[in-house]
Amino acid sequence: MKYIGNCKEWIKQEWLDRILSTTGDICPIHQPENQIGDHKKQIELYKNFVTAGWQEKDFVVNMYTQGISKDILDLDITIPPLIPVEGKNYHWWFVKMNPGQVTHWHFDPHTVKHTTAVRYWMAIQDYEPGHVFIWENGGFLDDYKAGDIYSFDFADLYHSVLNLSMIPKVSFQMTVHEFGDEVIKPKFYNLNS
Amino acid sequence: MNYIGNFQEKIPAGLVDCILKNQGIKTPVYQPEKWVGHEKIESALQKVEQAGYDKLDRNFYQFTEDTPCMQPFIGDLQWVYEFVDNYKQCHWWIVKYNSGDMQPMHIDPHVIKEPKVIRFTLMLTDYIDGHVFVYNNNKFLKDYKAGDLFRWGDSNNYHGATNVSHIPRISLQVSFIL
Repeated sequence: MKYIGNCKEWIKQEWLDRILSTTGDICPIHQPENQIGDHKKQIELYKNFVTAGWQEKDFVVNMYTQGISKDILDLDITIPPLIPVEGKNYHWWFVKMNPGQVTHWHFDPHTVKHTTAVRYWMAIQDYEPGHVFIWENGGFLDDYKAGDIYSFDFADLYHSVLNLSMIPKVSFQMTVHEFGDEVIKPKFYNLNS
Repeated sequence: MNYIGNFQEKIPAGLVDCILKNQGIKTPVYQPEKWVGHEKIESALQKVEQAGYDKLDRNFYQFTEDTPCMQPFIGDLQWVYEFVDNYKQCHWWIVKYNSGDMQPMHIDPHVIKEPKVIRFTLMLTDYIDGHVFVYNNNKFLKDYKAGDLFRWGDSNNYHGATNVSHIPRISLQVSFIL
């Protein structure tokens, strides 16, 4: 993970309050219709976790997706100034992990399909012990501050996010890619609907 | 966590296979009956409840001297009692995290109740990505090998663990009460 800079001033307390007080879309990490069919690595990965006993309903994240999630549609959410988007297409989403929520080891399937994808991660809160973001080869993000932005070393980096603390964990995610490299997910998974 | 050395040759043959084949003691992350008897422990329990862990079906698995499948290994594990001299009491337990198991951030109740405790962790499996042990506010234990022995810098360390890989994570814990 490469540190880009801090733009804490971009974060509006209203956004954080809204996310903390609503459910968002409950999205399972295991999304077979989006994750299989064109990538051998994805198929093998999910076979392993299903064999190990993971069930869709037990391992979810609360997502707030640009243009989709009703809980934030009325908010005027702009793009963090440090993320370069001029002449490019992008999409973003917030992730809330309540205490005890964990994701299994994974990479984001859309970043494989977007051949030009660059993935960004931004802290919305200061680091809290038990708020864990890890990535392949022992990477662990600690002591970050709200507003800190990082880019993934490469878009389909294996990673996991989990919350072993006593308070929710909120982060902002963004993928930037070239026009013409759009990906439409076959299915939007939301266990709320 | 202070690295002491690697003691893989002292891990009894068949121990890890036995742990993998047997379930062990299913231990829920929320244990109200155990988290009593001290102000700090009861305060921690309240925070766990407020955070919602009491409503989660999350567990990890333990093996102790009393676990039936451990009986063939008791003799070959006597060496762990030699880490410290002149203690009042010592006990060991093995913790297995299957894929998705966890323990939220906590301080072990038995450590809080005693004035002086020395703790050790002996890794029984190699580190792999997805095996998580966080401690000391911002430390992450990684790159260890089976047999690596660590002495805790502070037995009252706030720590948590989980397994987001698909391969079980196993370690042996030893506490010496002085």
